[in-house]
Amino acid sequence: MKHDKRMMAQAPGMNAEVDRTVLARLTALKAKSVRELKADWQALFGGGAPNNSRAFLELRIGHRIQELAYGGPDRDTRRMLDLLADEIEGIGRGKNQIVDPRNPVVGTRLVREWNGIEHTVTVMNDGFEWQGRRFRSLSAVAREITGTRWNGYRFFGLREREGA
Amino acid sequence: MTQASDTIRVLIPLKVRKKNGRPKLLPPVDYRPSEDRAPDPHVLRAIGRAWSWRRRMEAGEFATVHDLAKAVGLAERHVSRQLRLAYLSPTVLKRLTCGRESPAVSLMSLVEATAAPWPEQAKQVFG
Repeated sequence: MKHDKRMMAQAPGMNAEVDRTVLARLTALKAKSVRELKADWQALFGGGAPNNSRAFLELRIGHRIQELAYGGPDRDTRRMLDLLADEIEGIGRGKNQIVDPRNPVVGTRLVREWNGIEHTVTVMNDGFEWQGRRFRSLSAVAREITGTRWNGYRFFGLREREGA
Repeated sequence: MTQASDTIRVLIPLKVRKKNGRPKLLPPVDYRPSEDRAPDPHVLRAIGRAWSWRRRMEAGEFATVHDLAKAVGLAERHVSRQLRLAYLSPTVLKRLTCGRESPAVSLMSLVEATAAPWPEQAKQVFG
């Protein structure tokens, strides 16, 4: 297991010795010149520093020092960050991690009359519930009810019409 | 003497903090959000974007922040600030993304918290 060793890395506060060393190295960064910071970068990352900004170099080198001592994000966190990043980049992969701001509060019931029948949809944490079934999007519910494709937010009156 | 027992005093430990320019009610620190948790979409969005930039930079797509800013069409100053979100401590990132806890500070202060050593970051971010 490749990642097990990384996850075993000690968390801050578990080893006073490590904490002291890390803190000393972080403090030392503040006293260094940009030239020295760039040398540190070369040693830690094995490549030229991407710019001459002191704030940037200090942050990244400091982060790297702590990452080496304490370990980086665990597998769950990295997975979630990758999912979030994919979603931002527009790589669709299953359910959305970021809640659509158009959604009302979880538990809200949306009522829509269609062909004389009242349909009630409940907003869930990660989707919608209609007649005991879970749906990922309101459009899927609207399609189930009407048999045609609708914009779900418009069908349930959550989006005001243009010019209205 | 018996009158005192007629009164029930309910204390709700909520804090009011300015968040993104608006006052916001915050639950106590030890409150664990469960099913009704309300992840903050704009914090998640910002962190996801920063992580995406970090991934692209580490993949060697851009050599400098300047190139990255040009590619995404945003001001370099803004990009370099927002990029710092990807360098929060793993604990803070975990609580924000997996635990879906709301930070007690604005996005701006969240960015600034990256400068603190890891053990201090959680205190700064979650209050």
